[in-house]
Amino acid sequence: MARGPRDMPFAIRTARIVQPRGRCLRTIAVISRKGGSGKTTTSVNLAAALAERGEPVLVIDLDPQGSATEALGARPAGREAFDVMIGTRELARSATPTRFRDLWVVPSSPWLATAEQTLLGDLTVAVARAIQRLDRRWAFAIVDCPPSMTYISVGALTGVREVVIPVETHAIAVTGVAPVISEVVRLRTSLNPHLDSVQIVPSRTNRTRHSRAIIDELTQSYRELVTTTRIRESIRVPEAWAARMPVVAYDPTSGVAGDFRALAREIVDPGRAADDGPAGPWWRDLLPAVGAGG
Amino acid sequence: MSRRSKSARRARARAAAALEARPEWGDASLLLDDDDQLKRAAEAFLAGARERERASEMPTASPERPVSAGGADPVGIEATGGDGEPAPIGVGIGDAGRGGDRRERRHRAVPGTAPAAILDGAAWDDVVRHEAARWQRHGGSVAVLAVRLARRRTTVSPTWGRNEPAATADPLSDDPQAPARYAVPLGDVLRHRARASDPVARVAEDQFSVLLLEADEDGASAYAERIRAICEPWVTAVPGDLALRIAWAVPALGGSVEVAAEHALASVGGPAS
Repeated sequence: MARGPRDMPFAIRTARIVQPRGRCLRTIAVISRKGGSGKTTTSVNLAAALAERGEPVLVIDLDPQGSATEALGARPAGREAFDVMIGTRELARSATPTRFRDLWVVPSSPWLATAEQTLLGDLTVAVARAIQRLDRRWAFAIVDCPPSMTYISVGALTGVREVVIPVETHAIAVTGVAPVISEVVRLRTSLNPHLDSVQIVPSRTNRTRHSRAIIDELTQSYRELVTTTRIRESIRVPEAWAARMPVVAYDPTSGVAGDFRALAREIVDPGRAADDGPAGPWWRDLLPAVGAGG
Repeated sequence: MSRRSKSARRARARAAAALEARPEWGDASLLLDDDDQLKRAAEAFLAGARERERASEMPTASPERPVSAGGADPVGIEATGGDGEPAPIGVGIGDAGRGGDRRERRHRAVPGTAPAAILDGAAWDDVVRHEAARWQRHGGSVAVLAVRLARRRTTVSPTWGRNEPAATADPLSDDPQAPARYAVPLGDVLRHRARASDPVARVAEDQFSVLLLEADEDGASAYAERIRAICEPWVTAVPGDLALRIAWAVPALGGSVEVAAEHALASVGGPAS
């Protein structure tokens, strides 16, 4: 039998999301261990939906495949751009505006794959520091991570304060959620105590009973960590991809564009999930011993 | 005191309280200020994450149905030894090959293929049993590869067959350090060349088995060829008559992973031709 959320090494109970207070730069890493779960689609379209609300957004494409870069119509960066990042620990210099208002991107580069093998821990430190030192000209920085736990992913998770995990509503994808959450919890205790929020976004949902069953299982297992917004599967997404546009710009009236706007709304204002009681750190209920200490 | 420093102080206080509750976690707040500490902690975290990832990929199901007989014919590759100098102890045998050193360095540089420990016979049986159960349910590609450092019994000797077998050199029995010298480097090559999720086991003193998950016959053949290419220069440098026998098997339709594993082991377990 496949390993599921209930086989996790710690008890899952109700977890709450802390909403950052005040106007500040919010850094969000979009991660998943499984390919094809919608990481890049979520990153690009969430960023576009946030930009549509008038929030300046920076998309940081750390996946060497450069899919987010392509989806935003930008060109992959050369090695020089990331050399600057490694040397100065600054990403702002590499940010380029896209043709969409309030939406910027740090393009990916194939060189990242080489850097992963040569720089090792130095790459983690550089990525983490570069994200931590982003200035406040942007309201959101959304980091598109590679589909595995690499030095880049660890650097991104060390630098950000929030994590979004898109999960395809398929039985194969669900088994990958528990290890990711477990690694994020461990990373919070060892590398990034400022990791404030984890949100699971059911994506590529459809009307089948299987899809509904998967959403129910996710909700039962992870409670408030699961967003109320579900991203439906739609042909508009690949069409928008082919047009090198976010779906909210390609077909603003489509249902899936509405889903991403709802997700953006939920991320800006978590809503009811935090209204059930006094908000506490999300990790407190995942690791009771930490909660007792903190 | 600025607002930011107050926030940092509160974070340190929370981390200190958490550390008091679970001292084995270490003080996370201190890592934020020091690049070297962050680097070391990140590398340690990633190594642990990969180990946990590998462990979590082990199937946990127990076989509920008896496995049926079957299996494909294994194909063997053999590299035979001759006279020469042994490979130095402590040097990977992949370093001795033509082009093998480059491939070996490149392989070791890939962080995603960090090698795991070599399993023993009991753990190997568990892994095969679990994979057999998984394969029975879900199918997919899997191959079992067996490798053995064997003695060549039939060699062309200068005595033209007289005074056999006393005239035949036997490096494995003559040298008490032979298993450590020859089998251990072979195990290193096997696990370095396999993916991190592929279990490698030492099932006998001179015999290894590798479960190639998500690999078909072509994948197993390519893996065996890589092993042969790396080991051949080293095997030819070993004095005496040493042979590296490699066989692989894939479960056929209606067969089982366990039968394929037995088939592969039987193919390398017999006397070398």
